[in-house]
Amino acid sequence: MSESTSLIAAGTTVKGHISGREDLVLQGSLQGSLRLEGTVTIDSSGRADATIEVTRAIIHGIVVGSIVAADIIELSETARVRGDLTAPRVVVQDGATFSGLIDMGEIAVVKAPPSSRERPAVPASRPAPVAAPAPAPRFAPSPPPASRPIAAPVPVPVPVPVSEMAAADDDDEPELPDGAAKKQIAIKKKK
Amino acid sequence: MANTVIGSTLTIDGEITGSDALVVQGTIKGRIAVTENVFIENSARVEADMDAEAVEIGGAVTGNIQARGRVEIKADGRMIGDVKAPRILIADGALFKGNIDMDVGR
Repeated sequence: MSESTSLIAAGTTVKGHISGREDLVLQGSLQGSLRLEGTVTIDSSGRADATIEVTRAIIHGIVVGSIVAADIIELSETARVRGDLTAPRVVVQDGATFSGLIDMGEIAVVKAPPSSRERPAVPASRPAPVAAPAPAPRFAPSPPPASRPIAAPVPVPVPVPVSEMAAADDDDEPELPDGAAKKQIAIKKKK
Repeated sequence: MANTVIGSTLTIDGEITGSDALVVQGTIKGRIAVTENVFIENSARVEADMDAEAVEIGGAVTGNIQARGRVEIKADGRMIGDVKAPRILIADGALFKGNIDMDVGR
């Protein structure tokens, strides 16, 4: 464990990059980035608009930005966090406000039979590559009227004539309507 | 009010502003602007311009200092830069290279 503790007091603002090998308590404000071999504690008066990379993160205050911890991230009941959390252990207490993605790394799950062809296992949490294959034509060259409802469960806002879709299938990415479909599918998968 | 403490293994690349006293044991590159006292301890390395109420230097400082009160360079202190403050102390053993301006506000 680290032998000393640094403190950024409530009336202090640090803009820039902080790095080190000790514990840090943030009661004031940090804008920038923090990279620590040690524990960062963001008190209820503390605010970090920062990218945080630490061993342990204990959040009572406000964080806007991603947090990566080698050990654990804890959000207490007073925490207000917007950003992605990456750590093998993540604790979110009742009352904490959080918006973002949590990634605890590889999770061993009993594998379901690969029944659905349009839902390849989701290895990463990033929605983009998952959403890309969602539009129908690539996977189902079957008659377009049948394939459309299956492939795009969310109704496409701007209906595209079937013939157009099939045509787009041959050469390259379809444009507008598919983009909309991608977004909606991505949102759905997150849930 | 609590002091802000930058521990000996910490490096800050950027700007520190605020209304708390600042104790530096680590490394700071950039700028310091506080309304309270700044203590640069033995283990500290500061490459920054400082604006503070008072500054006490026991470590290594490169940069200009402007203080409303006292600037003290202690025996272990090493300082390269200009100092502008109404009261300046340089202890025996201290290393200093730079300008001193005590003519503040007159």
